[in-house]
Amino acid sequence: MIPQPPPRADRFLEWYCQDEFLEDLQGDLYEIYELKYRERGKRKANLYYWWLVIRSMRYSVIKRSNKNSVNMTTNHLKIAWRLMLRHKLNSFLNILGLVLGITCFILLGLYVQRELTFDRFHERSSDIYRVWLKEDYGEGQVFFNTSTPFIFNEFLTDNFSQFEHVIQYDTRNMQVDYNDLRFNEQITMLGPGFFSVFDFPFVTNNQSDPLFSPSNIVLSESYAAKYFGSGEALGKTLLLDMDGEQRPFVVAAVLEDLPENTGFQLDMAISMMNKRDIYGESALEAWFTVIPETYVLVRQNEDITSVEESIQNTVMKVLGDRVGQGEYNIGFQPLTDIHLNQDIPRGLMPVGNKAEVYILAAIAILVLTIACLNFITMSLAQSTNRFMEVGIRKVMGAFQPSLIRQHLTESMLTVGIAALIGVLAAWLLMPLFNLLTDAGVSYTFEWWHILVLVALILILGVLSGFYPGMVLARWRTTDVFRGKAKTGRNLFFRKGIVVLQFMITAFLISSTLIMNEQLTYVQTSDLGIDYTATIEARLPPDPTARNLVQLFNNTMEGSNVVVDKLNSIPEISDVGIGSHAFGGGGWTTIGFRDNKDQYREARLLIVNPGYFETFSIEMAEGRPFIEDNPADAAQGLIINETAATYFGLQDPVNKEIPNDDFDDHRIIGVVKDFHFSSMHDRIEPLIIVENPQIVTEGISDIMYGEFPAPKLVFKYDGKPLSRVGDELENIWKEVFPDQELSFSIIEENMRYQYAREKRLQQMMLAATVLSIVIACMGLLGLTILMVNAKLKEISIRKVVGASWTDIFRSLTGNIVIQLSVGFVLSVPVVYWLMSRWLADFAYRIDISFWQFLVSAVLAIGIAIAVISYHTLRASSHNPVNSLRSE
Amino acid sequence: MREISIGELEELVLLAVGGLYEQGAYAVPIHALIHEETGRNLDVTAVHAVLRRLEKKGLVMSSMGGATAERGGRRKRFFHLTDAGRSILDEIMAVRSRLYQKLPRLTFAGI
Repeated sequence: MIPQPPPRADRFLEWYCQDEFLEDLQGDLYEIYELKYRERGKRKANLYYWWLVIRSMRYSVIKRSNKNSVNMTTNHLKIAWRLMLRHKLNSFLNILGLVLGITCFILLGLYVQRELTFDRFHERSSDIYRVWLKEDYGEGQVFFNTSTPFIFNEFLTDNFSQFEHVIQYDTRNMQVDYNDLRFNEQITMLGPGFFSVFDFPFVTNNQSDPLFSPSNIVLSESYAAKYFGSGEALGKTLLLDMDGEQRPFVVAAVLEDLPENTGFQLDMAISMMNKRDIYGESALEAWFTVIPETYVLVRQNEDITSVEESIQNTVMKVLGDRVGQGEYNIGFQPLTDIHLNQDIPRGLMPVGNKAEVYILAAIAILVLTIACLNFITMSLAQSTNRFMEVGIRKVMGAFQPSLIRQHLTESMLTVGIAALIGVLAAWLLMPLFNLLTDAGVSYTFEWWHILVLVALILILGVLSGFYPGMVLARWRTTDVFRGKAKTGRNLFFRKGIVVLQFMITAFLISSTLIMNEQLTYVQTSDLGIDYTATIEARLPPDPTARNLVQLFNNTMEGSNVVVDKLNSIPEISDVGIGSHAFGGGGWTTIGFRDNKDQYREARLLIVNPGYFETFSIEMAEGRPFIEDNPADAAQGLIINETAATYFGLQDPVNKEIPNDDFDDHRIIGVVKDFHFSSMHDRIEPLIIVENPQIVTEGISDIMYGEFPAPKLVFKYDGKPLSRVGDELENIWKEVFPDQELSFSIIEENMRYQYAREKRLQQMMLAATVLSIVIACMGLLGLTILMVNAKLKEISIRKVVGASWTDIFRSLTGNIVIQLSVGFVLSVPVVYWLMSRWLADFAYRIDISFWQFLVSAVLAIGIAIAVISYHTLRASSHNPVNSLRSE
Repeated sequence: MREISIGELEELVLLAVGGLYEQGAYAVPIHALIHEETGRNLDVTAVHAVLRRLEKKGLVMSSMGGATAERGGRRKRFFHLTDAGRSILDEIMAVRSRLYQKLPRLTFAGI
């Protein structure tokens, strides 16, 4: 068989090559192709053939018709360049608009890309699943978790051959000592084999898998630097505090710092082989205690559905005596689905908001569209100044395609320049963008980005050059010379563009206003508590405590010294202790069956009497806990208004929670409802006790958000607030010399609850400002051109008696109508999208007429301000100046 | 002085055209010969370009060969030296050998 070179390459050769040279040239190339084919195989030969075809494209062999287009393109570029220089202001506005659009597009695009590529970089990411557990006992007694029992490790490995690896992952705070350095760090526990499932490259590593030894620790590059500076980290020993015992860990490997687009935390990681020491024996065997996340890697030729189908039967084989069919469900979530799926509990992985990502992607495209539309209107408007050129080109024999091509060349040139500046600007502005929006965007160069850029230039160039080019090319030569071509069909199109452009701008303005209002609302509305200048500091937990009750009682007893010390500082007041403060992780939830065998869930807060004063919590009925009242300390219980309704208690004071399994207790008061989680969630029933013993016996389930370890809370009126750190540091040195201090300012934590929304709002704001600027530049350019074109008309009107107000009105009236139409069209879109965004909040503002009115006034006001300057100048202009020249 | 000046690659190609007279000189063997003799990694498209330039300068002439079943039935373009081509080679050779004669014989001993 005679090998055939790639037909596409052949066709390309035949297309450009003059017939005179084609035959022998092609023959020579065939001959070489055959040779190559026999020596190196088909792929290499094909590639080489392409190379030769491209290399053969010399000026001397190119067809004359093609040569003509090469020549004309050079000519077009030359003319485009000259035009650009001649109309400096217009070109500047054009390019600036595009640059802003492209910069915005790139920055937002990078953010969106980061969000969409979370944990997709692992080579086998599509074979990795996270295990979830959904216990469903009916009546709303549902526990849905992505944290799983430890026993899943053995259960999944032993029963399913489909899994190549089962890996468990958990994090926990521990105190780390190295010489005189002491930090409270988040330590990650990883099942052996983690690094063969997930691709996190090592900087240095002295063994095949450092996780196969329980006394190894793996550090990230920056954490190695934190402890050992520039020195060698490998082989050094760190001491980790586990239940009061310091255990040595040897640095066995250093990881490269993790990329931004992963949910894993691997700054300090040790092997899961230590789980017995960390979690205790009983947790490892339990089926109903969920702690680590479990990941599975499915074998290459296996499918997860085969596991999903059979797992319920396997569960029933093992647990059949303890749960009913369908009560204990195990499922699998693809790794790549974790970051943007809000329907599955978040577990240890950060979960973003899909809507937010799509909104931002849409905004990126919208801003770019505005810039593009701008460019089209400007080109259309400018084209009216070019009859003569077009006419003469036509007379000299230019055909429509050639004229369109000319316009395309021009727009490509402009877009190309703008794209290069835009890329540069995006690169330079990235730190500022990150600072303003906290987006954490970074950029690493990859070759395909160049392709994207070229594609972007081509698409934008074609989009914005094709229509104006077509309009120009369609003019009839005679009309051009008679000056008839000014008015035409493109007017409708041009108006349409202004409307569309303004619709997008109005959309952005209204949305930003609504977001702004909602965020102000959630941050300033009365939460029912006073958290200004309040500090939260973790009390060192008693290491000997075996359960929650002991932990609390022992820690409270041991806290007297530190409370006295705090009280002796004049700036500190209202010291209290509680299991939870505000703005942190979720509060503890307890679940139990009440006397009517109805499943109930409530939040649990364990406090001392001081807590109520710290946060100025108000009572609706009854009284708060009183210091040194043994009855309160042993049996007192306080609920919130929601709980009173939930448990169906009227006049709850002196009654009990309807659960006889609780220890003896008495409701001594009802607090007014206050928000203890963010405004995304409704206020839930709350039980407050001094003595956790009351409830611990009677509950069937307990779920932790943030661990309910005792925390000191107090007011601090020193300035600045951060100075409290020094005071605490001194006290800690005296009272808890071996313990690291960890404290935070509650106001900051509260703000952080809305960090995600804040970020979206910041980006929206930036995009809005940009789009207003771009749209205004478009309007400005348009008015300048319009006024110039109508100068004679204006003068004649004036001569026959029009006042300047008449003229002003006639010039702006049209545009104002277009703007209004654009605005009206934007209203439903805003309403629809913003309702969806607001639905995320349990407490929210209503979208009202006023927000739209404000944005309409704002938008149309700015637009009129922009166009007035030139129209006013035109209407006050002396008619003689423009009329005498003819 | 010559009116036409040629570059080094052109000279090599010209020589190869002359040298391959018997077998028939077209781009592929010319390219192979140059590669063999000088070890240079040209590609054949460079040879094509040079041949077209030489033809334009009148140093070679080309004629199409007969069609064969090889190379997809495409004919070959054979090149021959013209008188001008031949004389320019002679001239270059003469200049070179005159200059070469002037090299002192023992130059290298001193270094």
